[in-house]
Amino acid sequence: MVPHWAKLSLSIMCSGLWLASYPGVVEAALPPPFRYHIVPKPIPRQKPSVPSIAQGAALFARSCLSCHGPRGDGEGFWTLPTGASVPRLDNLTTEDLPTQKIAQIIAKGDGMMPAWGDVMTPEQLQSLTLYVESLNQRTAPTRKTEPPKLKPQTVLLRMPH
Amino acid sequence: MSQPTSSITKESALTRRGFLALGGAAVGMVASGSMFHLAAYAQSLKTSGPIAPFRFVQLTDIHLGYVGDANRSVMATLNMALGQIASLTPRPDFLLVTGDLTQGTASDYDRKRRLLLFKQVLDASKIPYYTVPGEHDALMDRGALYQMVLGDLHYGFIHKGVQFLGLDNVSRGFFLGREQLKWVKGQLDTMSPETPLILFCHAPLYNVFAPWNWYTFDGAALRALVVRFHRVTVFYGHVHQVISHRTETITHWAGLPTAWPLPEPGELVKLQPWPQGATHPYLGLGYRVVDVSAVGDVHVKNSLLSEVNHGTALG
Ligand code: HEC
Repeated sequence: MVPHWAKLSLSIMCSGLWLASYPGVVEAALPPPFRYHIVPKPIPRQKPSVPSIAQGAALFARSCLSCHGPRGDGEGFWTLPTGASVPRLDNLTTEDLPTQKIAQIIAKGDGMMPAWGDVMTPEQLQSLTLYVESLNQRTAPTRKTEPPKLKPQTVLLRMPH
Repeated sequence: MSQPTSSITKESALTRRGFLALGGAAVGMVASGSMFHLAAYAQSLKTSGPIAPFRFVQLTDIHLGYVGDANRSVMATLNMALGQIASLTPRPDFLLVTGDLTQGTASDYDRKRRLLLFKQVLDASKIPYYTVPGEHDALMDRGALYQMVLGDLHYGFIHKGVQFLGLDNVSRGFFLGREQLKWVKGQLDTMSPETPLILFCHAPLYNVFAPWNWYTFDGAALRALVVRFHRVTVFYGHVHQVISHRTETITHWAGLPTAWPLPEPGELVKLQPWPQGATHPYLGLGYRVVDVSAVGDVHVKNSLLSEVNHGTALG
C-alpha cells in the first residue's frame, strides 16, 4: 500500500509536469531575465473548414432568402413571376430528397429554381447543401470527431494505485 | 534532394564570362520581346470608330399581359410612352428595352403570345429597338421562348462609335454565369479603354437589395471586366423606379417603368406594388431619353408620362 501523502505528492508533481506542457507556463514561472530569451512558437493561423454550414448560411442569406424566406419556410420577400409559391426547405425528408438530390437541385435548378452551378463553386454548392440539410430534423450531416488525444502525463495522473 | 545538387553542378560549370554573356543575351531577348509584344498589343486594341452624337430611349418593365390592380391597362401606358417618344425632337435612333416586356405566366402558350404581342406593338412604332429579357420573360423556361421570338439573350452591337452590350442576368437566376462572363471578356479584351461602353440588362449589376432579388450574384466579376474603360454606363430596370449610383468608374441608371412603380428598397417586407390610384394613375411611370455627346459622354433625362412633354399635353 502506498501511503496517502505519497499519492498526493505524486499527483502534485504530475500536474506540475502537465501544466508545464502548456506553452507559456514555464516562461511565466521563470524570473524576468530568463523570460525574454524564450521565443514562443507562432500559433498557426486557423483556417475555417470549408465547405461548412457557416459558409452555407452566409450564401443562403445572400442568394436564397429572397425566394425561400429567412427561415427557409417558403416565406420569402419576393414573389415568383407566375405568382406560384416557393417550397419550404425545412421539411425535406430523406426519402423524397436524399442529400444527393438536394445537391443536384441546387446546382442544376428546377423550373424557376435557379441553376446555381452556373455561377457558384463546387465548394459553395456543398456548403449550401450542408446548410439546407441543417434546417431539417433528419440526418444532420455527421462529422467524424476524433476522441481527444490523452497526454502521457494525464494518463499517469489517472493511474489508480 | 537530387535536383538542387545537379543544378549547382551545372552553375559551377559555367565560367564567369560565359555566365555574363548568357545573362546579357537573356536580358536583350526579354526586352525586345516585350517591346514587340506591347507594340503589337497597342495596335490590336480596337476602338469602335469615330463617335457621332445621337439619342436613344430606355423603356423598361412593361409587363404586357398583366391583369390586376397595379395597372389597369399596361397596353395603354405603353402606348402613351410610345406616343410621347414619337414626338421627340431630335428623334431617338432606337429604343433600349431592359426586360420584363411581358408579365410572367406558367403557360408556354400565353408567354409566347405575350412576347409576340410585344414584338407587334414595338414593330408598329417604326423605331428600331433592342431588348434584353427580364425574369418575367425568361425564368420559367430559361429564355427558350424569348429566344424564339426576340433573339439572343445576350449580344453586342456598335452604334456611332459606342459599344453596347446587352446582358442576361435573369434567365437562369439572378446572375450572369461563368459562360456569359467569358463571352464578355472575349468581347472586351481587344477593345481600347477609350471606347465608350454602354451595358444594358434587367437586374442591377451591384447590390441594390438582395432580399428582393435586386442584385446580380456575380455582378462584381462583371464590373471587374469593365473598370479599365473610361466611360461605362449601365442601364437596367427591374426596380421600377429611378435609381442612380456609381461603383468604381461605372455609372448605373435604373429606368422608369411603364407598368407600375415599386417602393424604395431597404425594409425587410414582402415586395408588393400599390393599386393604381384614381387621382394619379400614372404616378412614377415613364421612360428615359439618353443623349450621347460627340466625345461619348452620356446625358440622361427621365420623363414621366404625367409630365407635359415636348409641347404636347399628354396624360
Ligand atoms: C428565384 C427564386 C428562388 C431562389 C433565389 C432560390 N430558389 Fe430554390 N426553389 C425555387 C423554386 C420555385 C423551387 C421549386 C422548383 C420546382 O419544383 O419547380 C425551388 C426548389 C428548391 C429546392 C427543392 C425543394 C423541394 O421540396 O423540391 C431546394 C433544395 C432549393 N430550392 C434550394 C435553394 C437554395 C439553396 C437556394 C440558394 C442558393 C435557392 N433555392 C434559391 C425558387 C428559388
